[in-house]
Amino acid sequence: MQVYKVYLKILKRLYPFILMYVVIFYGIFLLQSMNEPTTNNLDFQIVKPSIPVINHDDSLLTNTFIDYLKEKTKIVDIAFVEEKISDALFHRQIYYVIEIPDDFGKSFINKQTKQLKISKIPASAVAIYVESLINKFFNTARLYLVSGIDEATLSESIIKDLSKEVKVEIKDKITNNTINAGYYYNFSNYVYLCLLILIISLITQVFNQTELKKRNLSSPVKLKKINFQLMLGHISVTIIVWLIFVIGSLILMKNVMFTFNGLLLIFNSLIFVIVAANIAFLIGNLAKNSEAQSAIANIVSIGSSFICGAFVPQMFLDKKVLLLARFLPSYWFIRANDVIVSTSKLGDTQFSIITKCIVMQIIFIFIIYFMNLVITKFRRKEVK
Amino acid sequence: MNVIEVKNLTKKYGNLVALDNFNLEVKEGEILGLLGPNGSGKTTAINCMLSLLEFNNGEITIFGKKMSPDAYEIKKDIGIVPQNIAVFNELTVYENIDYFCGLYVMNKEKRKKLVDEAIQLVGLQEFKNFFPKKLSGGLLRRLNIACGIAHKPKLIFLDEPTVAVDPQSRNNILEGIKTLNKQGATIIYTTHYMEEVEQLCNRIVIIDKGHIIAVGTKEQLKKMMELGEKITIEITNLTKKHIENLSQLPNIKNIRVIDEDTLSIHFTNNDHNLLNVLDYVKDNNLNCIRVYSELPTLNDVFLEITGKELRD
Ligand SMILES: Nc1ncnc2c1ncn2[C@@H]1O[C@H](COP(=O)(O)OP(=O)(O)OP(=O)(O)O)[C@@H](O)[C@H]1O
Ligand SMILES: [Mg+2]
Repeated sequence: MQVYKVYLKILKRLYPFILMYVVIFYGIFLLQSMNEPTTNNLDFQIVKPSIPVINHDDSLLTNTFIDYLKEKTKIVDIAFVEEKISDALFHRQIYYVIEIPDDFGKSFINKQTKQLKISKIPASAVAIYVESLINKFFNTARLYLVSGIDEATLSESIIKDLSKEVKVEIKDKITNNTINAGYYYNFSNYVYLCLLILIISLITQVFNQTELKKRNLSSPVKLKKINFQLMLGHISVTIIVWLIFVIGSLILMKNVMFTFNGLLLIFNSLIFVIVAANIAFLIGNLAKNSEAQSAIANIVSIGSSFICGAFVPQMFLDKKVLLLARFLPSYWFIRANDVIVSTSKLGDTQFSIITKCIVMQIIFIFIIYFMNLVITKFRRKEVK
Repeated sequence: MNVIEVKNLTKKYGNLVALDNFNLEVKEGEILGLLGPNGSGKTTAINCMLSLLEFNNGEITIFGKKMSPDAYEIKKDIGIVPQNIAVFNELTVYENIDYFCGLYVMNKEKRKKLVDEAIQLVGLQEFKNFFPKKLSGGLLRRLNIACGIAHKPKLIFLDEPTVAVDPQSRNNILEGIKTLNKQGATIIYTTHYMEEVEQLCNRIVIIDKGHIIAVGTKEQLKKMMELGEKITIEITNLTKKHIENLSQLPNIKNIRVIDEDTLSIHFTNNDHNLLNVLDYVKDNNLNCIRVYSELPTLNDVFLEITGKELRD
């Protein structure tokens, strides 16, 4: 295990740098979470989202529905101009618009199929919230309808029922802590890349130096054994670095991290460190010397953190930038984080997005792994 | 018994033929000097013998077995001091030697002893905990040597190990190599320093442009070239006529004009040549400033064979 021991020795020499990154990370994170005023987030209990409603119907049911919405949201009346709505949606001034067609109430009671017309930003927190309100209202209504009561009683009963439920609903909220956990894991994108590139690519590059490689090749230790020990080193480092930040999050935000959402965040980050380790290995294989290696390291870690939303949330980033970011694994890691913390009750929509993000990251793992294989083959020829 | 046998080795880099039908036998227990000017193919030959390079043709046997990239049994008993320094900049002197020794010796205690001995041999005791970047060029060379020989191999390749090492430490290292040899190691040594070869090697192989051009002990080589005494003389009023007359003296092999008034006269033997030269000087009233006689060196042998100085 000579090679593995050397790996650990070199790792020891890097402790100061590792410590520096850890301190910077927690420093910035703690500062950030202290500065955050409690209202400046998406806590629906405090800030009611504005929901434009365009109503063409004047039935009792519809009015009850609007009254119900008014309790939970700020209903704003806007003139119906489709272009304006899509503009407002695009600029994220609004997230959700409901248009109620005429005779909607009547059609509902007669079990016909008139639908609410919805324009929304998919998977946005507001949309998810309002959708849950709408579903709740009409599901309750449908239940009563089956029992065959008239419209007036129906409306009364729904109101009664739903007002009881309000208390239950308070539990289903996104706390400040959840937002912080999202921020923590997004920001971890940067340290994971920095640290793993620092360590893994440095050591890869060291062992790739022609003279050392020849020297190792002339020893009785098989090349396979040397590579195996290096791989073992990379895996150890990856796990250690991952654990540092996972344990940190468990300590700092235990009420969030021990929920299902928290576990998903942790799982997502595990996938991402595997991507990051592969990237680091690739850089180590490409860089000819340590200067080039550290230059590439900075560009990759800072660059991808910026355009993928590790520093500035994705929703504030330019559309074109995000389009480009899709070609980087960090984008998918961060997008998954954002969706995971958007609600404490993850539905099918969220799950399908999260799954897609994780699959994308796994695809990146395979692509980069394959590139590494090709480069290693070339390198072996170069020695000869 | 031959420790190494190289038969008809040919190595080409593209169109360049670095080794052309190269044949070599290394006997057990000897120190073989591999001499040749820059680019003559010494390093290439060593890398082929170590199976670090693929070659176009030929056969290499070490310890009686065919050498190949996965001949790990053979590699166990080989030590290498490469021409280009191969150490980890991230490890200290001690850790470096320990790593390379550890590729051959698993036992920790045994290894510790070996590493300490190697440090002693190259005189790096005071620098054990230094990082390579903090070592001078000569000290770094010494570390490179220690890394290659710490595990006490049976066969050691040293490729210009003492470049940039000061004369005193060089002597220590040469003594150390002799000790390793006395303990049973067979050694192949390439260098540009004639003194080292004279001091160290039992047998010498001279190669040029990928060909072996002479093999033998230093005495054999000198004899083969019919080299006798060499007299260098400085005369202020020298003319072409005098040089011609001088070349008529007995036993003369050749005369080289080193600069305007200095001559280097080579003889085929060592009998009374200085007297003859001085007689001529006296009889012709030549104004002689300096004259000295020396025995031929390997450098002269080398010059004789290749027409080049060994060192630029
Ligand atoms: N990797 C390579 N690719 C192409 N040509 C090479 C390569 N390595 C060596 N050569 C050429 O092969 C010839 C022999 O080189 P080699 O390094 O064996 O010489 P050497 O005797 O060790 O010289 P030196 O005394 O300078 O170390 C030289 O002409 C050199 O330019
Ligand atoms: Mg050489």
